[in-house]
Order: sequence, then C-alpha cells, then structure tokens
Amino acid sequence: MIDTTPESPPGARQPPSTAREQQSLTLIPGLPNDVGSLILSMVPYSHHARIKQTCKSWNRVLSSKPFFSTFLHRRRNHLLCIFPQDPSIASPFLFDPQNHAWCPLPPMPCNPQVYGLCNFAAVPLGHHLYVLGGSLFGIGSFLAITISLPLLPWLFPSDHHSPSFATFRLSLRDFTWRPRAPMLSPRGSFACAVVPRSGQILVAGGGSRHTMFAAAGTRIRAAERYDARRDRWYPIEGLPGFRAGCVGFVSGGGREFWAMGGYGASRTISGVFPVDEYYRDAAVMELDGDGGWREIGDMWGDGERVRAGKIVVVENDDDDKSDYPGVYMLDGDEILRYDMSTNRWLCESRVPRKAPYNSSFGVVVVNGELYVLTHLCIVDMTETRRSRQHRRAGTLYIQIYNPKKKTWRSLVTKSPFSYPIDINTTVLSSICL
Amino acid sequence: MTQLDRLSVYHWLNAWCIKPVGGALVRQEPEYILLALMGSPLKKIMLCSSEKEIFSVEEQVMVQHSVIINNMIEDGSYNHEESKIPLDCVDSKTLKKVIDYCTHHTHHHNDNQEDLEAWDAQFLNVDSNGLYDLLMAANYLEIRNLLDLIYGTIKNMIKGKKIDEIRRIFNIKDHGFTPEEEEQNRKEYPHFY
Repeated sequence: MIDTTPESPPGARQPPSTAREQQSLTLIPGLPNDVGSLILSMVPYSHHARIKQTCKSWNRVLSSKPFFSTFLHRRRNHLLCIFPQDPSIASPFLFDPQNHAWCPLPPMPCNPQVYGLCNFAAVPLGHHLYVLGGSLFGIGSFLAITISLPLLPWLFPSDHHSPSFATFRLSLRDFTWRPRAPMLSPRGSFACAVVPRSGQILVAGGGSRHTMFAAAGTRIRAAERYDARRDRWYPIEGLPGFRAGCVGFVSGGGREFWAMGGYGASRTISGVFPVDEYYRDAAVMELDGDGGWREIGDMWGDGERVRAGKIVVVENDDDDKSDYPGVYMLDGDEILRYDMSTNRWLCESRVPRKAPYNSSFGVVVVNGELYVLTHLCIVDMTETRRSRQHRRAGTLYIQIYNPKKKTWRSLVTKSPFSYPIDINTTVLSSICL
Repeated sequence: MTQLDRLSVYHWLNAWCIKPVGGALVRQEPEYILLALMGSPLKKIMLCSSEKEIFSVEEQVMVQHSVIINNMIEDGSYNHEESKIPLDCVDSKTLKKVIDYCTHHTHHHNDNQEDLEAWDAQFLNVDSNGLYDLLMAANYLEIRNLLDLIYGTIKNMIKGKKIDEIRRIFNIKDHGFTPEEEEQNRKEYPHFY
C-alpha cells in the first residue's frame, strides 16, 4: 500500500523549486498545498500537538494565524480543561470528549516565591484561557497581606496564605503563557463571567480561602471588569455584602451579571469551630444601567436547608428562545435547577452512580451538557520490570447529563494523571474552539 | 416520477413544447421531452480521459454524482449525439474507478449502510498515489460524497497514528527539523513517536 516516489498526478500544480525547498513547503507529498491544508484542518484540535511534530511544514501551517482562524470557523471542538493542582507545578490537561484524546498543556510560568495556587478561575475567551487570581502560600504573600489588610479582619493570623492578583493567559494556538495585567484587588474563589461578544470579563467578590483550610480566609466586596483588548482592569461598583465562594454568570441576554450564593460572615460553634454563613440569595448587577447591584430575595424558603453545592451555568444555544441560561447545582449526588421566575431551586435529576468512597464529584459544563467527573487512581503494587511510567494511569469516569433531553450517558477514559487528584478542588473549565 | 406528476408535466409541456437543440429552440413532441426529463435509463454520455480513452457511462449515473457534469448537461452545452466530455485532469485508470464508484452508488443506493461502507472501504483499498489521484479527480468533478469519503480516510490516516507512522504513510522523507530539534521533541514527548 505504501508507494515509493511522490509523483505529481496530472494537473497538480507544484512550485518549480529545488527538491529540498519543495519538501519543506509541501504539506502532503503528492497533493497540492491547498488540499493538504484542508485535510489538516479536518483533524480535530486535540491531535494538533502531536501532528505538529511530524514535519516543519505541518508545524508552520498548524501554528499559523490564518489557518487557525479558518479552523475556528469550520469546526466546533469542545474541550475540557483540567487543572488538578497549582498549574505552575502540575501540567494542566485538555481533554477532547468526542475523540477521547488528552493533550498536556505547558505549566504556567512559575514565581519561585509562591506555591500552592488554588481556588483560581480559568476563563475561556476566544481561543485563550485566562487564569485569574486564586489563593496561594508564599514569601511574597506578606506584601499581599499588608495591602489587603485594610479590607478585612483576619480570623486566623497564623495562616500565611493570601489571595493573588495575578492574571495569566494561555493561547491555545501556540501553547504559550503570557502574563497579563494583574487585578486591582487580589482574590480567590470569586464570581467570574465573560460578557458574550464583547471580550470582557467581570469578577466580583472573592477571598483568600485556601483548599488546605476548610474555613478561614478573607472575603471582599470589590468588583472589576477586564477589557481583553486593552489588557486593563477597571473598577466597578462593589457587591452589597462581602461575598466569597460565589458563582458568577451573565444572564438576561448579556444585560445582567449575577453573583450567586457564596459565604459571607462566619460564626463559630462552641466558640471554636468556624462555620460559614452561606448566602441564601444572589446579587445582580445591571450592565447597561448605572451599574448598581440589587439583591434577589432568598432562594431558599424558611426552614429549607440551604444547599451549598457546586453551581454551574449552561449557556444558551443560538436557537434557544430564552434569554436566561440554565443554572444547575450539584449537591451530593442530586442535581437542582434554578428557576428564575420563582427564585427557587427545583429537583432536576440524580447522578446515576455515586462517587466511590464518599468522595465528591467535579462538575463542569461542556457543549451544553453537565459533565460530572470522578477520578480513580489505583496504585499498581505489582510493578514488573517492564512497567513504564505511563502505564500507571488513572481513570476518569464522566457521567454526562443533557438538560434538554434529560438523559444521562457516561464515558470512561484513561487519564494521564498517574497520581490521585482531588476532583473536588480541581479547577475545571471548558473551551470551544 | 409518480403518475400524477407525469400527467401534470405532460400538460405543461403540451403548452410549451420547446426544447433547446444545438443552441436553437425547436418545437418537440411532448412525449420525447418527457422521456428526456425523466432521463432514459439507457441514455449514455462519453467521457474522455487525459490519455484520450473514451468511456461510455449512463447519463443518470454521472449527473447524480458529479456537479460539473450535471451543469454541463443541464445548460445544454453537451450534445448527446456528437460530443464527448474531455477530462484532461483525469487519467484512464482513475476515471474508470470514479465511474465505478458512481455506478455502484446509483444502483445500490437502497442498500443498507453497512454494505455500502464495506464496499467503500474495499474501493479505497489502493496505494496512496491512487488515492491522491482519486481525490484530485473527485475534486475536479465535484463529486461531494466521494470527496468526503476520501477526506475522511486520509484524516483517519493522520488521526490515530504516531509520528513515525505518519511520516512513513505519507512518505515525508525530510521532516525539516534540525537534529537537535528532533531529539528535543523525542525526549519531551516520547509517546508521540
């Protein structure tokens, strides 16, 4: 089947140059470059990292801007981005659920003075992924503490973790990280949303809580707006109350920015154990008007237990008539849906298979569906001489809920994480290329 | 065409019995036009390859698959009795295969999907040069389903394979990386190779 010389078929137009030059320009020997380029654009995005290294001409074409922009117009690749730990220590990964393909991303540039970044936000904008803020430990955090001191009282002065200002951007075209303008107020665990068709990111609230400590941490009210084109942060009116751990989304056809849930003040049980006071409501900001916040009434009735599960938002398709996105909460193994008209949470569904060993799920929205993730990593005790490093792979078990059809399906894939990861604190994001 | 359709077309034609023949509009008997519209199954056209070999093929078959040939026949530039369609970009071997594909798909379009796919897989079991020739021919003649089929096949040849295999399959002799770059790539991503 494999043939020898790449003879040009009758009618093919090849540039009249030396054999060596021809090889470096030609994509597929035997076919004209426009056909070769078309074929490369059909290969799903998740394979690009690999095939870029086939030869220099493929590398050049696949990384070029014009190719990428036509590629973005043609295909809709929905990818899942997984940040298991601090991205400057452990490589984040891209997962393509359609092709079951994993792609490692380069680790974020490392600041040697800080470590243990968590509770940051990973926000897709175009073909870039922005990593904003977070909470981290470090020598440099002392400076951050003194700057944020006027904002909030410390509950546990012995903690050395602090919120981060930093903003980094990863380009999925050439896999490079670039630092961007830092936020005006440092924050982790904040509400964050992209305003559609405008290249702006809104953030509100947040605090310094770190995953190492279940309680503790500051909370702030400040909110800001990021203009991606200008690479600048602008302050906007702050939240009515101090709110961290809240979830942000844009609704009402791009007119409202919601910061839902989260925790504000803290109280102690028996004077010792800190317990969060969860917010029972959401704060909404009108984006068109004077930019003021209003508080929606309590989402939970009197006597109803406040559920504080992970909230995710399903954006509307173009053919969806409603202006309002679908807002879902995963609490334990129950999925609740937020009904905007009644301001209540309604039971939607239940995850078919519970998480093993009472661990939690991770949840993220990809292509309009809810992906509920569990990661299992079985350490192989019987290592033979032939077992190589990549054999000890973990397994990612994904249960997928389609809100329109109200059906579940599942997907199992070998994950590249050969160490156990805490899916509860893993930062998940999805991007559409 | 159903009975009803034929009847209505017949009446319409009766009123407007004209047909373009050699650039002129000639009055024709409606029965003949009806026959022409339906595409008499025995009507054949001539295709001429780059090697000047003539292939006779049913008009209905080519018209259904190839947009170029369909356009040529529809706008009347093709005279059945005299002319043949010259295809200088396509050699005889490839043209024969293309005709094979179109004929099979026209006559067997009611078969189930698996049989068709099996036939397609067998059909594309050629060397890479033959595949490229087929691709260029399908591109020229604008045969959408054959094009999609070949693109899909080539895409699958790239998709699942390691880099060394891809280089071998596509006969990429010189990858253009310097030895240092190549070594660096192999060290960083050994599982790609």
